Amino acid sequence: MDIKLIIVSLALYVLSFLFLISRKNSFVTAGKVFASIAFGLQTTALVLRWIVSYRAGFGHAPVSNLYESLVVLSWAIMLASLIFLWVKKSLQAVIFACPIIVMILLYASFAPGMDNSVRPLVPALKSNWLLIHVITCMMGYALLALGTVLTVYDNYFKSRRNNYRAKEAAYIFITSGFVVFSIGIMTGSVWAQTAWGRYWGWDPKETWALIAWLVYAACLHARKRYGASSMLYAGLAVFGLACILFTYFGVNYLPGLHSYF
Amino acid sequence: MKIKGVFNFLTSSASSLRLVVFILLSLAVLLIAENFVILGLSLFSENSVSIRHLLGFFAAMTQILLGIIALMLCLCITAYILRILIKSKINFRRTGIILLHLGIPVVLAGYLAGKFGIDAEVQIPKGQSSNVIYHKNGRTERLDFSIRCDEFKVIYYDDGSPSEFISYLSFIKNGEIQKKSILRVNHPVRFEGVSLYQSGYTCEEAAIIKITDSSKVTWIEARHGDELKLDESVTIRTGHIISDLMNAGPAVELFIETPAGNNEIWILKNLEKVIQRKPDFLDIHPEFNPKLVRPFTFLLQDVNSSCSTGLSVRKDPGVTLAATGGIIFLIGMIMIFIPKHKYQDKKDGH
Repeated sequence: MDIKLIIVSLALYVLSFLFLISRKNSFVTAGKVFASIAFGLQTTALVLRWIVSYRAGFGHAPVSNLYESLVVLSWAIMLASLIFLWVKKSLQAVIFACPIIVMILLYASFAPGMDNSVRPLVPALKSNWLLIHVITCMMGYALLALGTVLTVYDNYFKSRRNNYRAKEAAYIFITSGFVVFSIGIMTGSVWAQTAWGRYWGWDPKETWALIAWLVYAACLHARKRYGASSMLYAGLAVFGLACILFTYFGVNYLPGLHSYF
Repeated sequence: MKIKGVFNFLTSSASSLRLVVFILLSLAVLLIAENFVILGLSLFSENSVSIRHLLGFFAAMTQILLGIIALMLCLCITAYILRILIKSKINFRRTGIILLHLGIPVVLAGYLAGKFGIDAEVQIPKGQSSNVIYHKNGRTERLDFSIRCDEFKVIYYDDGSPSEFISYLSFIKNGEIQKKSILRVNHPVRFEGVSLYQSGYTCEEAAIIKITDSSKVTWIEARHGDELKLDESVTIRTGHIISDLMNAGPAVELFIETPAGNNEIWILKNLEKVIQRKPDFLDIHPEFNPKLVRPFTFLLQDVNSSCSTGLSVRKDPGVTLAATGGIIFLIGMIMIFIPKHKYQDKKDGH
């Protein structure tokens, strides 16, 4: 049931994206509505999965394997852009969020070998920190990814009228993403201290998260020094996103303690 | 005046943004390089000694460089904070910036202090006790108390995957039990400043087998891979030992080498029950016949499993300092975010 809901929301995100880029007022409104409905369906799917796991007798938050974390990541991206739409009345983020989410959900739903069954947790993941750590990290990834995409867009289409708004949106996303990602690393280290007895163990995922954090720190300092239109700033944001992607996917192929998904 | 000029020059050049960007990026690049060197180390570790030495050398070099650059970063942060304190008025936002940056050297200092703690492992078989721990660097240390593993259990979900690893521990000092604790993954136990974590376990099954010959009876206790010479010509090698083979109870696999040929047989503890349920069982599966290899009759008395629990033993004197640094960083970050952030871009101007 929850998997079908995800596929329906995937279709709605595609529709919403097509409507949003049409630039006609009535279509744009429909696009907003579709995106919100898709977000609602996705939330319902996640809650359903949670309920299913409780019915099966081992209840846990739906953040325990790659499929679930991909769904949560796309959910976090939409949440961030909808909040931005609500607070700043700007569609910038939603327009860029839709294609990213479509790609993530396509991968989650149709990649061969993707395990989307609800399974019990291994002993190492049985902790209240699981939900907090995964949600903060995914939220951090989502905000940084959106910020980077907006930065690149802003740097390539400088002559656009709404240039100023893209810059502002990009900066808000990258700074808040940096903050949330830092909190994600911190919650991870607190959990590592209670589970393994060391808050930092140079596990590949930890190392790569630190690398991404350092690159985004450099990116923010470069912005202060060289300005928001500089190539160095945009380039470092892209490099940082590449590090985030490696933290998320690449590390699964390295031996380490984070190889659950 | 002159001293002030030198101070200004030093702090402004040390806290220059260009230098900071360079330092942060070189830290990132070094970490990436080290990560791939370690990956290479694990790939080549069996092939070539010289490559291993070379990569090990690179890894050590990158670690030293990382340390030096991290130190430079701390110096830059100190210079930057001093500069703000001396040159500018302190307001709410600047306090946030100072705290944010101050948190980082504090965390690093805590990490450094943690290097002088205990980071060790110990394996304790069920029912036994130990007071010797093995450090990651190869050193062994004797604790002034001993840890006894009273019981070790693995609890499974319905689908057969493990749900919980539980060690029941007693801490013994001067011959008396001081404390009894239940240790699980994610639920560490502390005793006298040392923390214990459930980090692994090993279980070994042993089969007790009775072998009846025409002339004599032999009892053996066999583990996986054991080889036993029954007489000059007959060798028995133990294969898998299974505590429950497809709901038929304990079973053991034996490879028997005789001059007449090699046989693989399985002995079931509850063979009679199986035959009661399915009278033609031995005709369909002759490898379960305990009399398959003449003149021997095999009987599986029982399968005993002996587990030992794997514990991480840790004591980190820097953890409080590192946590303090983290909290300072967090407070600074929140303080910067509280005032409504006005968007500015001096370079672009519009």
